[in-house]
Amino acid sequence: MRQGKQKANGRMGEWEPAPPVLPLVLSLLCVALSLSLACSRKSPVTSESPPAAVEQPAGNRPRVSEPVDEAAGQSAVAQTQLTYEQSNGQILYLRYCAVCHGKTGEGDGFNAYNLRPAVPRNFTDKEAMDKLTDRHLAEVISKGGQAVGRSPLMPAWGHTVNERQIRYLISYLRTMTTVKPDSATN
Amino acid sequence: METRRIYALFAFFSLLTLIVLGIAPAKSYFREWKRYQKEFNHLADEKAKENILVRKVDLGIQQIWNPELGVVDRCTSCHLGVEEPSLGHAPQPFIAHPTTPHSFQQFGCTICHRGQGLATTAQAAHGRGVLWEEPMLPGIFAQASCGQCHAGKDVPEAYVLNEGRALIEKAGCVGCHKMPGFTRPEMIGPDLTGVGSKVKPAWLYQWLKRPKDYLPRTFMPNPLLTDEEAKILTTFLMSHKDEKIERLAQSSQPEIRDEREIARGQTLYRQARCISCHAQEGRGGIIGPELTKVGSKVNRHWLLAWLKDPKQYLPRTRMPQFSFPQKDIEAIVAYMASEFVDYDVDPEVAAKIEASLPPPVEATLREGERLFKKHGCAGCHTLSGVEAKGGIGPELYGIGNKDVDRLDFGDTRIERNLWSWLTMKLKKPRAFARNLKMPEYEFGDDQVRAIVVALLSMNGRQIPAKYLPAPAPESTYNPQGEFGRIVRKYNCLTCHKINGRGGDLAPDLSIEGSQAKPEWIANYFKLPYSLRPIMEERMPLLNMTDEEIKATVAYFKMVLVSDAIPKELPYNLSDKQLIERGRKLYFEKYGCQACHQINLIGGYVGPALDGVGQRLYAGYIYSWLKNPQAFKPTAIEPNLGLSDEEAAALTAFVTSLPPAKGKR
Repeated sequence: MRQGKQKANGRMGEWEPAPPVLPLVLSLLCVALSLSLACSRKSPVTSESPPAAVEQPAGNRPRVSEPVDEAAGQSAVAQTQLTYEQSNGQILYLRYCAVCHGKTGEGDGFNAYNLRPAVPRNFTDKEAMDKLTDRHLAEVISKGGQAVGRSPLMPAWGHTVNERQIRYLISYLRTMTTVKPDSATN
Repeated sequence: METRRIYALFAFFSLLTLIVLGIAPAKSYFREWKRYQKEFNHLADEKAKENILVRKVDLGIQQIWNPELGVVDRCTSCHLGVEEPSLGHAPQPFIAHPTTPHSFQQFGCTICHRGQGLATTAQAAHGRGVLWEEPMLPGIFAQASCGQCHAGKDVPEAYVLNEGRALIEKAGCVGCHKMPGFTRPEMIGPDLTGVGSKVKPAWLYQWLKRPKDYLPRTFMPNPLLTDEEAKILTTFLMSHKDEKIERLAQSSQPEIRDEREIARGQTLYRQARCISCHAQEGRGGIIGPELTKVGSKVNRHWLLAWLKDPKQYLPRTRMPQFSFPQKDIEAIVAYMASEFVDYDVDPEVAAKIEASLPPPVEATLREGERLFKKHGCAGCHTLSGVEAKGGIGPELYGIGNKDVDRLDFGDTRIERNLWSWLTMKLKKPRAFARNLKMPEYEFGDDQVRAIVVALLSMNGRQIPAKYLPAPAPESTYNPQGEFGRIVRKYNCLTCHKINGRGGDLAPDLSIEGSQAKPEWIANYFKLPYSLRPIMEERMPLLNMTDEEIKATVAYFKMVLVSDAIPKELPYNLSDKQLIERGRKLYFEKYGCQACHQINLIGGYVGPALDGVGQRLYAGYIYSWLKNPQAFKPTAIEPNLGLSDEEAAALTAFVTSLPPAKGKR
């Protein structure tokens, strides 16, 4: 490659064009930069303070499927149907409510017939349950049956369970209309 | 010519530079999280039309930073609705997070869900990156993360973790594995030192082949022995005799076959409430083994000696020493021999098994001892003459985030991740290789999941002390003197708790002296009856002597008391008006009859209240009514938020109730 140089007498028109060093360097820089960016995707991120965002390659959603033991032809990890809120609600339900409302929510707990003529609510009755708003259910649970003009035999639980737990309970009650007791126990 | 070539090159590189320069902004524009943020703002607009206010997001990486926990979580860059309760049914990644006791802004996401918090694409954040060993935990194992900070088996809202930890304890995993948070109890399986005098050889052989065949609820795992190994081990164990019981066997009286004595034995068996701990036909307690088929298991003379004093044979047994007279013991044993027969056992088969056992020659016994050690029996059972060699399994510190590349999956085709491996290991312990030693527990799916959750919690993560909940103080309660002797003799702490030590089956007795009246307690020891009809487990009739009862009641009265319970209430509890007000509150306002019976009317969730004033101090009834959970955190009785006066009126009413007819 020839060296470009200005004529000694300094005439402006006759200089030979400079070789494209600058664009070459620039484009090389760009390539290097993008390469280094590409590499940095894979480098472990270990620094303690939060650095600027490091981009990761876009990809598919992760597979959070249950692992399957193909040889045995059955799933190795059992799945559960209830969410965190619902299953916490279930624990509370079985402790406080099931004695009257029944384990499956049909209003047939072992203590139910002692409440006659009052009848515990049947939570599996979808039509009736759909008419009750979450707010209404929360009201009954926290203030008791009397607060909504029903039997005082449904006590007020507002001093025993907190608001969050009432929310858990309601989310579990909502599953009782859809989940049949047979499939729930399996 | 040359100049033109240079111009062409210049043009080419300029264009290339422009394109390269363009890539970066384009890449930035099409970023995944930006797309989600735009989608989210669109969703917020949609919600606004339904009059639901959802805060829009300014485009940019969102981040939760907690240097103390090492948390730098950008998950909320896409999961934008986690704290918007109105998005409970929104699609991922915008769905609201269930309400939890912890603040996301303080703890971030990865501390519970694992995954790579710094990442800003879904794949890298969720999955197992090239250099990222902690992939996201599937939701069903998420409670493992509670266990990083919370110790014990009563972690609030983490019932799966609690169950897993309880199972690890019950199944005696610490017999072979050392693991954080568990200490080896004094006894896991029974001491086998005199087992040759206790059980029948054919039973022992079949037990070793598969314990669950005899006791479906046992936690003794199946050691997966070959027939030959089981026979050698049977001969080896049968050679361990208990001299006292052998002497008794030679001298003991002939078996009682008198119908009346057998019937008397049955009455005694029922009075003693053996069923509280020992199930019969699948019904009853779980503290002791089920007795339905015990006739095929134990020798008669062993049972005689056992009922007389269980601690003679097994010093650490949880069974109380009932003070039965000798004649009663014989009647009970006669009843048990006639009732608890194993109809599945064919005497011919049993005889054949016994005949096929190798003779107890030296070589066989040495081989038996080798098998006893090899299969890790010594991890749970002590046997005199055999050096205790516990801990044959690997230590499990840090098992919760063991690198998947260091796990041997054998030729199984399960997914390559830690939780699948643990699940498989617990279900089929020899699935990865045949020569492994772990026995088979035959856990159910839910049990396996719970144990995996508990194991995943052992990830060795260092949590700063300020985030750790205060550990429950370990009880050092150990009563001395006469009361201590009584507590040990009757093993009260198997069922009752006193000052933080003991079981959960029966009421906590820590402040019994301030709760129940001494006269009632004394009578109760003589004739225990059930306060709660629905309970299967009841206080056994221990045949305590008068001196023992006196000493116990005195100890209750002096030591097991609480000054927080008022001795006197500032109300006149015999005031007719107050009682009447209490009656109204009881029946009309609070509906107490839903759960309590008076004169056989009402529910039976709680105890009947007839004559409750003779049983309990008014001060305690009052305190209980004000806040039942303060005395028993698991109490079903709701805290009704009673005013002082209401509580006093209710106390006045229930203490005015006369005892039920026919009861003292």
